Amino acid sequence: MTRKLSPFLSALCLFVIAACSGGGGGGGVSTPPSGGGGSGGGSGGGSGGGSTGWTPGVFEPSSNFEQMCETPRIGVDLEGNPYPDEQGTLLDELNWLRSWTEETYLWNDEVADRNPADFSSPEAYFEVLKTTATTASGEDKDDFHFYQPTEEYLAERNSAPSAGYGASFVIYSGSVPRDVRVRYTQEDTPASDTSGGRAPFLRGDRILEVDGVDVVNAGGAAAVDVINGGLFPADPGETHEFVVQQPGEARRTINITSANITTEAVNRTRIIEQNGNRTGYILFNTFGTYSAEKALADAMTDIAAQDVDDLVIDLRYNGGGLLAIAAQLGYMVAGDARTDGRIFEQLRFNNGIAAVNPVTGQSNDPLPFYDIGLGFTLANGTPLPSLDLDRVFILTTGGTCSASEAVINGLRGVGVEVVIIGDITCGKPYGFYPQDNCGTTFYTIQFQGVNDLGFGDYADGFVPDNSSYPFGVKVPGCAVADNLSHELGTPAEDLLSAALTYQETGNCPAPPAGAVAMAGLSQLSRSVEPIIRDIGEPLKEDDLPETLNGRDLRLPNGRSL
Amino acid sequence: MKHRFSSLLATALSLPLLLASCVGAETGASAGERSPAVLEQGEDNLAALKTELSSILGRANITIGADDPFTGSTVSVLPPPPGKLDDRNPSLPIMFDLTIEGGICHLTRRDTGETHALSAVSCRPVKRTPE
Repeated sequence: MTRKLSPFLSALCLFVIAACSGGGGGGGVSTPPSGGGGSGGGSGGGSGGGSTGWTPGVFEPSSNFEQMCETPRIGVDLEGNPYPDEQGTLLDELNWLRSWTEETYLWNDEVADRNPADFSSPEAYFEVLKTTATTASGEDKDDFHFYQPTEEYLAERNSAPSAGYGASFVIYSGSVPRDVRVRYTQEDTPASDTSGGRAPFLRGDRILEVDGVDVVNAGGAAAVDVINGGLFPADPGETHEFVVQQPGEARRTINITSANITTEAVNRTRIIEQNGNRTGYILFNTFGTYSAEKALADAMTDIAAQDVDDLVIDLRYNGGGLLAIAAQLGYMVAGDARTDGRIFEQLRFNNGIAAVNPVTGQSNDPLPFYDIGLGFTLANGTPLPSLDLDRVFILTTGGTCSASEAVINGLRGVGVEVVIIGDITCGKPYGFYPQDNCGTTFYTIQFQGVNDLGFGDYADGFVPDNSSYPFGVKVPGCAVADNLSHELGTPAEDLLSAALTYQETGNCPAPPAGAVAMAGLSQLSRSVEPIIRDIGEPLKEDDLPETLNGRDLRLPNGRSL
Repeated sequence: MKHRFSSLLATALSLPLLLASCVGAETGASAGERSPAVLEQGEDNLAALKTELSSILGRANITIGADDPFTGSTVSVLPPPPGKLDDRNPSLPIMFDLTIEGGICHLTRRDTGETHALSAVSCRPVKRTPE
């Protein structure tokens, strides 16, 4: 039973189809370890470890090898910092990885100590410097071990608003027959502009043509270039023609012009009045921007003013980001009484919950439920609003990851009832401090986040308790597929609808026609999770579970085009 | 290694400014005679503050956070932005308090208590609101 799509790969691949073409891990993400070599022990140990030899179990400080590079960089990086490189050797770079792993890797006692001299590149060595243990689901315990060129890392984190339409696309199939859909749009962008009547792009639209090229069936590099050029315009001001279609509706031809788009952390908020209840809804898509702090506080202030009975936080597409903003969200849900003096998250390192963070050298103070602005985009000390809820609904998918899961775990740690509606979450209670060495930025898991109860073991994710998954942390809620039907934030949208049903009845909605059991729903949910496939990479059989429960999962709502 | 990195950066930036900051470093100094201060108006003055912060923090790129040093005595410096894959980032803005003593501005870092004299920055005491 496969568990989930890596949200990391998804995030990369969503940008440009071509970026994911070709073999291997696209976007600079490392490929799986190539195997080979036995573990530890063996011969070849020199005296004392370090750059002139290897003794199993003996480690020099990583600082002895840090930025000692076979090919030192010269000048300054993209952020203006001078490269710290000094002339070294390949073995220095390998020894740095070995010692740095021993010092900071969360599961350093599960790493086989291999002779660095047996490896021909830092990247190849890094691949094996990880645990090989698996979780209950059978997945690798460390599913998050990768690297990328440092210049690419810096370019990404300093990127300015880029050209686009304000639509998020999901590629269910990147190879013929391709299936590209609109996942959601952002308000006040070309994608949602209703000045001409209906918005150009609607959630669930299937992209059939781009600039006259058949998206579904056209082959060849030239066609792919046209498709990518339209879906992911290089510059603002580009106008492209699309043919799109909602399931069961007529095709629409639209012309849309790109603009510089800044992704809004809070995509939308709504107040839903139904069944005598007032429910706040917030679509919150990233913790990864500073602007999220103020945007979230503003949204919660608005919702608090509406005197709501319940809150639905839509984190289905939120892959995480800044932990402190997650802690602020926890406070704004739960309020003073539940969170005062309590821990939102404590970082646990390879030496346990130490007083000093072994990576940064700073104090390892627990993160509280911050009740004030922290200075990102809200002045330090600004009081935050709170709803003082003892229950919250969180909408989830496999894209709900890391800092988003920290919200679930943190709130559960102080006794808030968290009801999750949707699919099993990503399962990443871990974090890292990306580290450059000699031009490559390495990501190795260095800490686990635990809540006020000391709990952080959700490596297989949080899962609605009516799901049939035999793994994951069961949480009250309902397994529901995110099938792109209905606009997000509307009561008819499947996940939100299920939340409102649960709110009213305390039970999950009945399975859709054809589904025989909640176990089936769980499978359904898993299979419709967005799947990214490289162009040219054939779909796997289980990518097309169109007959599951009698529904065509390639087409939202089971309707044919 | 961090020391080596910092010194490289400082050299690249401005040796005189670095020296001024280091001379002014007064860990644990009494703040009793100092008054909360705000930055004097002017983009040049803000640029000078950023240069000082760059030396203090050992990184070239300084982005001031939500707190406005022209109107308040709190200075927040944003951490480097999280990368696209950095999904559980525990970074916080670094907070400083701006004070003035004897006509010299000082920055005190809250989490460490280190105080740095700012030789090239102009500031003035915060006006007290009438009671």
